[in-house]
Amino acid sequence: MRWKQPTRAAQPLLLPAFALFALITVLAFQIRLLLLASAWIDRITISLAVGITLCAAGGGVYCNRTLRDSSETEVRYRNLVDSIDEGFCIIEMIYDSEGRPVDYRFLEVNPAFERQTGIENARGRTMREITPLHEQHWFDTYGRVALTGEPTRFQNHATQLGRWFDVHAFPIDAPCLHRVAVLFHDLTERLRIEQEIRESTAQFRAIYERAPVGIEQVALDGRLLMVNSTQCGILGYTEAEMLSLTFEDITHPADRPREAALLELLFSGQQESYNMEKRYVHKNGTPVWVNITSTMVRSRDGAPEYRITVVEDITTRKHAEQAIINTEKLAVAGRMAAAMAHEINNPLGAALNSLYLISLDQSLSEANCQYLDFAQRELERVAHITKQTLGFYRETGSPTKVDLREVADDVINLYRPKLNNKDVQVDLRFQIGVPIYGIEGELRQVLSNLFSNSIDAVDTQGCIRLRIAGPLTLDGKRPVARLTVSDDGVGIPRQHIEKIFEPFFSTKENTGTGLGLWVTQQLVRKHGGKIRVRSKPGVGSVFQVYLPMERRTLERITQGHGNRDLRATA
Amino acid sequence: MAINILIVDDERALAETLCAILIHAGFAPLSAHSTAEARTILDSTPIDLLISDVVMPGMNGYELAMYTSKHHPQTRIVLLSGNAATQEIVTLGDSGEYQFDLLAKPIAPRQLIAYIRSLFDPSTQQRAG
Repeated sequence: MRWKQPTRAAQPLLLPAFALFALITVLAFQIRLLLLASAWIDRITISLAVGITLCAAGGGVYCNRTLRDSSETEVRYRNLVDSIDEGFCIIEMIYDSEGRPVDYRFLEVNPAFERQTGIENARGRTMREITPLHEQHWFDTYGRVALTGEPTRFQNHATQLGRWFDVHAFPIDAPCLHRVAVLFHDLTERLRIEQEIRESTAQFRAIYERAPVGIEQVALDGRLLMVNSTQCGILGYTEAEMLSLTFEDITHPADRPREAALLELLFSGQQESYNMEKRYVHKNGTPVWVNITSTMVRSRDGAPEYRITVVEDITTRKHAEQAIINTEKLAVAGRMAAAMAHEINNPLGAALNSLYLISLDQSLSEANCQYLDFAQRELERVAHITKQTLGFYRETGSPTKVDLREVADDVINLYRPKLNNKDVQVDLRFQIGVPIYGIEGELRQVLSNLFSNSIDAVDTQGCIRLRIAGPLTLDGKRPVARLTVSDDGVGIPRQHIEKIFEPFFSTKENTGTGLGLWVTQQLVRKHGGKIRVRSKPGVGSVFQVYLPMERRTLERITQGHGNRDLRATA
Repeated sequence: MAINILIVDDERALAETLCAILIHAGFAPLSAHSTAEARTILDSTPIDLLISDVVMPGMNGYELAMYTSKHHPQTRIVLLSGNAATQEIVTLGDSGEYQFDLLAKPIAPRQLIAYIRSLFDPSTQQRAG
């Protein structure tokens, strides 16, 4: 037999019903005793008693079962409420005479309630007793839930408790009881952490954006995930352009293998970070020297996630270092030149002297005289070259009037054998009447260096044009003479044009010292002049030297050198 | 009247060939291969012109020039150099206390002869030694 589950409202009525039946049975038995009734009454009474007893037994079983069920639910509910981390309470709203919610009483609280609110022994007390200054909005909200039966969720601050709460409030029990169940937890710590994270993120952002160094976040596959504005500035890209590139794209090809080796150490976990000086490539194609420190960021289990690279632009420092290296090279070259000049000039002098002495012999055959003459001329060329490139030049007195035509003739004669060898044509033209004041030896060297370069640049049967013109007035300034050496040779690649006047820059492998044009420029500047170059690979080059023609200009320029000017030309 | 010239150079080949050239040109040169030897000659023989190398072991050409300038002021002095160390000499020589000329090595024989002749040519106004 199975009991139909009664409605919850009907359950309390069953027990009195059974008690009533039991009472009737007992009364019926008493009546029989009093009336000594007949057997049919007896049978009825016994049947009735049996029925009632059965009913009573069934009712007792049912009641017991219902009570037990109710008690289990109660235990489950209690266990649940007691074990959750959230605070839980049931409150009963208190309204004033005008129906405004003014307070509430705690009917039930769970153990977490105290932890979450800091309120001890709340049960039975009202909120106003505990925190008289509790904000009115709390009472309004719970009052509304109790009156409307609408549950609500919200977050708010309880000033007197010094806490933030996340709250879920819903009606409970009969509406007329104005009871509200409140499930909540303390948000204060989480909000504090969130605030700290916000602040530290803001600080990080500020540092990241305003840092004088570039910062990159690099994915494991090399893509740039994040770059700061300094980094964009170093390389001339916009942020969007940078984020479409990989770190390899912006690294100079020559430095990639070196960095790949360091990355290997990083990925394998042998190193946490590496530092290197390398070149990036600017958007405009020029190399940018940087000092980078790249650090691997790993997940909790140690797996690489991404790299953070800090980038310092050291181009200026590198240029300074290069300048120092060049200066040192010059010093070394100077010492070498001095030593070589000494070692070469003495034997050269002795040989020239000896040849001269032989040439005094009247009995020499005509052929021998010619050979001797040839030997002397060649050795004089050697002497001239050592003086020009390795030696030290001595000029007497102040700048003198120099006939550039004579200088040009001298230079052409000096290179005559070389010109003949290559079958190179020289086209020499003058504008008549070009007086110039200067130091003849130095001007000869200027022309000699340019001329020598042109001979090297042209092919066999090439052509070199030499023009001397003046006085010219350019830009309305003082009159200048213009000396032009042009050739139809190989020309100078665009990327070399800016470098050709730097010391030790040479494209002539094995034969060039890299000093010729540098010396030339120094000498032209000393004369207050300028040197210009135009060139096109495969077409030829034009070098133009502009020299001031006024005497006073030059005297002013060379005054500091004194009358006895021993010039280092290398 | 022959012009007495003293050539000082530790490179014998240079000193001897120069001597021969100057003899041929009509001068009366003597040669010395060290500054010590040169001082002995200067102190015993009247010398019109001293032509000396600069870089030599022991006393160098510049010191010899100063010595000569002090003890034999009538002697004219020409220093020959192919070396950077001479920069200092030029600076000091300019101070006026010692006066001498400096020629770059190597110098062509004809140029040297012309130069010496011009030094002693009464028609040109060269400074007194």
